[in-house]
Formats: sequence, C-alpha cells, structure tokens
Amino acid sequence: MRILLLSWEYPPKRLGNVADHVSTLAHELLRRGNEVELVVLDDLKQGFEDVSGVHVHRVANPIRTHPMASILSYDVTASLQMETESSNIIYFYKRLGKRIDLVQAHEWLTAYSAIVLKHAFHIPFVMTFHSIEGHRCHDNFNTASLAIKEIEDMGIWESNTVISNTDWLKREILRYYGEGHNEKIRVIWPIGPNWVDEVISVYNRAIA
Amino acid sequence: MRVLHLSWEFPPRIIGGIASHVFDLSRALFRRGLEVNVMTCSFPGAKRFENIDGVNVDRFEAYATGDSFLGWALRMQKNMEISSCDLMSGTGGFDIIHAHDWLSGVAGVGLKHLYRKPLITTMHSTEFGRRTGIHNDFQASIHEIEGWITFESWRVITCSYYMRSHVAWCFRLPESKMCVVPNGVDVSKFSFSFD
Repeated sequence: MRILLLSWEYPPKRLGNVADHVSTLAHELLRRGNEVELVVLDDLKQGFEDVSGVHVHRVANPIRTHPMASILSYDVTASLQMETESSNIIYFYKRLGKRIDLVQAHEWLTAYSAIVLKHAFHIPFVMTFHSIEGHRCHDNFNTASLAIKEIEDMGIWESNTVISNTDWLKREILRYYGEGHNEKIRVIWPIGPNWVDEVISVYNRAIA
Repeated sequence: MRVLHLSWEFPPRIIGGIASHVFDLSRALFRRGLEVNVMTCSFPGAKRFENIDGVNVDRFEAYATGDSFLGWALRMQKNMEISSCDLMSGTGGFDIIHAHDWLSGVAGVGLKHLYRKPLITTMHSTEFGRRTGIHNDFQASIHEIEGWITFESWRVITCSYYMRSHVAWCFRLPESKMCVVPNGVDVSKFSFSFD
C-alpha cells in the first residue's frame, strides 16, 4: 500500500504531540511493508528528505503575512501548498504507472488538502482527530473557531473513516458533530505494539 | 478549446465590474467556437446550473463562516476549487483555467497544479490601487496573495495599458508575461430610443 500522510508537524517541527505520533506512524507503516509519502508544513525547513525510508516533503506557506495572526487564513493558503506538493507526488507515481492508494489527514489543518485531493484524484482519505475546536476554544466560539468547526465538520463528512485516539474523544466528536457519525469513527489508542496494525486495518477497509 | 472561467461575481450577483466583464467575455468566447464554463458564487434566486447563450454557468455554495472578509474569501475559494474538481470529473477537463482577481485566483492556483493546465489571470484591480497603498496587515496579506497569483499565472491580462504598468510595477512582473485586452462594448445593448 502507498500512503500519503498529511501533517502540520513532523520533527524537527514540533508544536504538540502530533509530530511524534505521525513520525511513529510513518516509520511503523514502512516497517510493515508499506510505502509512505509524508507532506508536512514547515516554514523553516523546505524540500525533500529521505528519513530512513520515509519520503518527507516539507513545504512552506506561500503567504507570509496573516492579519490578526489568523490561523484560518494561514491554514487555507498553507493547505493549498500541501495540495500542490501532493499532486506533484501523485503525478510522479502516475508516470511510473503507480498510484497513491490512500490519504491520511491529521487534524483540521490538513482537512482541506485531503478533501480537495479526494475530489480531484478520487483517492479516499482517513482523518485522525487528536483534538477538536470546541475543546481548544473552551466553547467560546468566535468567528475563527466557528470556521474551524465547520472545516472539522467537512472533514468528518468527506472522509472515509475518522480515527479518534480515545473513546472519550469519540463521544465528544459525536456530541459536537452529530450521533449519525457513530459508525464512521474508530477508536485507536496510539500506544502499545499493535496500534499501527489497527490503523492498517482501517486503511484496508477504506481502500476496499 | 475548453475554458473554465472562475469568478466570484456573475449576474445576477453584481458587486463590481467583474460580473459584466465575465458575462460578456464568456458569451463572446462561445461565439468564437470555444467551449466555456463559468464557476461562480451561489446567489439567492439564481439557478445552481444554467446555460446562458451557450455558456455553461455553475454556481457553488459560497456560504462559509470566516473571521474576516479575507477568511471568508479564502474559504469561499476552497468551495470553488472543490466544485471545479467535480466539474472537471464530470466534463472531462479543461484546456485553460482563467481566473479574475484574487477572489478567484487562489482557487485557480490550486486547480493549475491539480490538473497541470495553464492558468491565465486577469487583474482588474490591485489591493494597492484600491486603497492607494498598503496600510495594514489585511491589505498586506491580500497584496501578497495577488503577487503569488500573478507569479503562478502563465499570463496576466490587464484591461488597459495603465493597469499593465501598475501591475507590472506592483508585483515586479516581466512585461513578457503580460497582455493588454481592453474591455469590449456590446453596442446592441444600447440600441434603445432615448431623448
């Protein structure tokens, strides 16, 4: 299986726990015989790197100025650059007669890229939530938080499967985004020896 | 040749001059034998799809919450991009993507890379020109986005020689990348009696 991972964090860029999560996931997927392309947003380090077999593509936001330090406008222009790099990878494999089987997005920050890639290339995507906007803004939704909530909602609707790290987060996703998503959300606690196997079983079902 | 026009305004949604520009340009292109689609914002009372004098007009859902006009405009263009992807899948694709100003140019840049087709952008105005300078972060961001779009475009069209010199200066564009195509006037629209 050839998987395209989309993330806003990958070492050396660390903002939270997603960097180590994605890093572990990428290398464990590789160890189990998969090919891993990883597109990550990193304004301070750009370009291609082969990290022990994982193909890491670091891209920077094409737009540097964002008013009110707006994470929303930052995200939309950044995700466009991640899409561009992803489509370059897809065309690269197409020329070799190969394809990307699945896209995995981490957090709302990469949701737009995954949604666009799905509509343009018909590649299914799996979405992992590590947290949700309602918690991050403590239910004090300003217009930016409302927009982010809408993007999370879009990601849930458009994805093939949603992975939640804990059963508690799954219940919270259902509370914020509707009980109707119950069947779509898989809980995978990302610790221990077998969690990557569980992720692969989700991938296999998404591709089938 | 198949052309996809991207525009944030198209009749009956008229905000500035781009609506009438794209309306007349798209019909004129059709009369010259091109296949023309327009992807534009939804508008109350307007049809989701219609054919106007040969031009296929698609209206996508333009509603999106944003933290500012900029936030909305970028999210709106994400919807524009996604709907254009669906249109590409449904129609078999386009040879040219033609965007108008930064309010559809961002979607144009995305589609250029996704489908590897030439992007042409018409710059009707600039943030610098609209506000006589760049005075705050909102404008700086829009100014930077406009520069990025003109960088990504294969050709930049302006509607006057004045705008060509302004756009070339504003974004440091080479003159070889720019063309001037003046707005046409459909005189038949004025064939009514008046005093």
